[in-house]
Amino acid sequence: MKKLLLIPILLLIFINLFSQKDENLKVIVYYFHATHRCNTCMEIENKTKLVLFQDFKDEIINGIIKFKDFDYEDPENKKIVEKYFAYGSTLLLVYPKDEIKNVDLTEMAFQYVINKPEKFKEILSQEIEKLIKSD
Amino acid sequence: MKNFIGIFTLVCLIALVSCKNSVEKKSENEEFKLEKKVSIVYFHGERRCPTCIAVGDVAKEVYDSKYNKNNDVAFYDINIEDNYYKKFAEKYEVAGSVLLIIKKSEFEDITGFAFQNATRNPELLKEKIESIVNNYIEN
Repeated sequence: MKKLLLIPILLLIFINLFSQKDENLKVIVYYFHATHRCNTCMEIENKTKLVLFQDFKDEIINGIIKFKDFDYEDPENKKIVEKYFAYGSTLLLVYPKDEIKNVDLTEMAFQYVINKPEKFKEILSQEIEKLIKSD
Repeated sequence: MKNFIGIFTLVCLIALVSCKNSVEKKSENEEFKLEKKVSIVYFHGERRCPTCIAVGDVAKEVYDSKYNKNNDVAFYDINIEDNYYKKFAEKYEVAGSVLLIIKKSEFEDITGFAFQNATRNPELLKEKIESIVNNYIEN
C-alpha cells in the first residue's frame, strides 16, 4: 500500500519540477511541518499529494497549481514561516493574486486525515477547485 | 556455602522473571477504563511532532491549573502504541494524534481545533477545553 502511494508522490515531484513557469499559477499548496513528524502529519502530506495527483494532474502540468512543503524548524524557511504564521504543522492554500483569499485547512486536515480520509480528500479538492475558479 | 549462594541467586532470578512476566500479561489483558465524570484525553503515537507535543502540554496545563483538585475531572496522556490502551483507542477510532473530551457515552473531538491553535494561539485552545469541560461538569 505504501509503495502504491509512492508512485503518485514521485510523479507529482517530477511533474512539479518540469511544469510550466509561474504565469499560469493560481494556487500554491503549502504544507509546513516539523523536522520530526508524527504519523498524522505525514499522512496529511501523503494524502494532499494524492489529491493533487488524482484530481489536478493537468493543472500541475500546466503550472496552475504548485505544491511545496517546508520544514518550519529550518532557519532557511524563517521568512515564509513568519509570513504565514506557520509555527506548527500547517496546510495552507495560497492564492498569490489576492492573498486575502488564502485558505487555512490545518484544522480540517488534523480532524479528518486519519479517521475520515475520504472526507479530507473531498474537502481539500473542493477548496482547491473553488480557488482556481475564483477569478 | 558457594553452592548455597548459587542456588539462592538462581531462585531469586527465576522469581524475578516470573514476577515480571505476570505483570506484563496483566497489562496486556487488562482493559483501560475512564474513572471520572469528565476526562480530557490526549492520544498520541510514539513519534510526536512539536505541534502534537504542544497539544498535550496545553491540555495538561488546563487540567493542572483548573481541575487538578476537581474529583469529577481527569487528564489522560495515552500512547496508542501501548497495548494496554489498544481497545480503548479502538473504541474511539483513534489512530493518530487526537484530543478528546469525554463524558460517559458522549465526547467532543477537538483535534483539528487543537492543532490549529496549540502553537499559534494556545490561550484560545485553553478556553475551548475549559468551556467544554465546564459544560460537561454542569450538565
